[in-house]
Amino acid sequence: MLKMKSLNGNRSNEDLRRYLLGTLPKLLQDQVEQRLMTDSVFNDELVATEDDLIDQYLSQQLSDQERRQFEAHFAISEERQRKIRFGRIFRRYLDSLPTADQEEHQRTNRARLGGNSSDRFAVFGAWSGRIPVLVASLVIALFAGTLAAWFVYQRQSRVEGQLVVITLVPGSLRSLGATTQRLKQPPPNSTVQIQLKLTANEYRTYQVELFNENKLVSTSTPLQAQNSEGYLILKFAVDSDLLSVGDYQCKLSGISDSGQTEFKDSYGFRVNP
Amino acid sequence: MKKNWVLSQESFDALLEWLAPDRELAGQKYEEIRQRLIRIFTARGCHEPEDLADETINRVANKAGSISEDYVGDPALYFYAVANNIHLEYLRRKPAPTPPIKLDESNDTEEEFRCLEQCLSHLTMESRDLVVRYYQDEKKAKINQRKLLARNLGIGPNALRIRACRIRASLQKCVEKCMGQHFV
Repeated sequence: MLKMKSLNGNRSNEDLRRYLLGTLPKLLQDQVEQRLMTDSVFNDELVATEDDLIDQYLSQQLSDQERRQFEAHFAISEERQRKIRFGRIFRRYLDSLPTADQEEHQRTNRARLGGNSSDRFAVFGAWSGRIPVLVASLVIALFAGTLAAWFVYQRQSRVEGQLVVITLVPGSLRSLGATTQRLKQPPPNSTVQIQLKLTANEYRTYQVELFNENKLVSTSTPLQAQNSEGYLILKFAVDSDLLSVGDYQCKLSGISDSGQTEFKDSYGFRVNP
Repeated sequence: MKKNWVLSQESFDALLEWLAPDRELAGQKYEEIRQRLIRIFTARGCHEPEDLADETINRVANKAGSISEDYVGDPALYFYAVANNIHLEYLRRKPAPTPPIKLDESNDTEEEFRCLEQCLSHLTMESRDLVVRYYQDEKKAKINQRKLLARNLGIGPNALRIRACRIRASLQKCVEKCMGQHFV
C-alpha cells in the first residue's frame, strides 16, 4: 500500500514567491508541490503570485537578486514568457488610464478653487474657501432631492402604467423574413418586458444588449434563465421611451465564470407605429 | 524527450476509472493533474515540462490497473511521486543549457494593444472595472484600491485576488487568440 504524507497549514505568499524564483529550500519546495497537486485554491494562488511577480518585474520593483532569479529561473518557460509579454501590454494599457491618485488630486484641486493659502488668514482662508463649497453643496443637495422625488414619481407612474410583453425567438430580422416579430409602439411611460426564448441554458448568467440600427440602446446584465410554461426564457425590461419606431436587435451573450461574454444568439423585432 | 512508455487505450481507461467513477469528472481531474505537473516541472526549470508531464501520466496509467485497488489517498500524490522519479531521470540526462531569454518588446505591441482594448470591451462592465482597478496604481494607492474593491464586492482579499487573476488570464487568452497566436 502506498501512502503519501499530507500537508497541513497555509504556505505563505512569500514561500510561493521563493518557490517560483527557485530559491525555496528543498524540504519546503516538496511541501509546496504536494499541496499544488491536491489543492485547487493553492494553485490559483500560485498563478496569482506569478502575475504579481511579473508585474513587479515589469515595474522594476524586484530586488537585484530577485531580478536575476526571475530572468534565470522564472522566465525560462515559453508559457511564462507569454505571460510576461501580456503583462507588459496590460501594464501599458493601465498606465494610459488616470490613476486613482490622479483623480483624487484633480478632485482636491477643484475643491480648493477659491481657497486662501496665506498662513495669517489660515482659519478665515479655510472657511472662505469652504463657504462657496458649502453653498454649492446645499444647492446641489436641494436639486438632487427634487430630482429624486421626480424620479420616484416617474417610476411610480411607470409601475402603475401599462406593461407590454413581447416574447422573441432567436433569429435576426432578415432571417425571420415574413415572420418578423412586431410590436406596436408602446404608449409613453410604459414598460416593455422582453422575453427571449433560449435554445439551451449553458450559462449561469447572461447579458442582453439592445440595438437600434447598430446603436446600443440598453444593456441588461446579469440575467438568469427561468422556466415559463415549459420554455427557458430570459426576461428584461425596457422603458417604452427608448423604443421608437424602427428595427431592433437583441444580442444575447452568455457570461462565463471568468466574466467573459460569449455571443450566443440574436433576436430581432420591429416597432411599428 | 524520448517517450519510453506507450499509453494504450486500456491503460488510459483504467487511469480514468481510478481518478473518478464518472468519466467526465475523471477527464477534468486528468487535465488538472496534467496542468499541475507541467507547473511543477516548469518551476523546477525543466525545458520540456509538457513532455515530462505526459511521460509521468503514461507511467502512472500503465500501473493504474494494478495499484488502484490498494492505493489509499489522493491519486494526485501518486503522480507526484512518479514525477519526482521522472525529474531525476531528466537531470541524469544532463539537459542542454537553457537558451538566453528575450524579454524585449517586439514590434507587435501596437497590434496587441488594439487586441487588448478589443478584448476588454468584450468583458462585462463589472469584470472590466474589477480587472482594471485591481491591477491599476502603485503601492499604497493599490492597497487602498484593493481594500475598497473587496469591500464593495463583499469578498475577502484572497477571493478578489483570484477573481482578478482569472479575468486577467481570460484576457491574455483572448489577446493571444486575437493575435492569431503569433506570440513569442
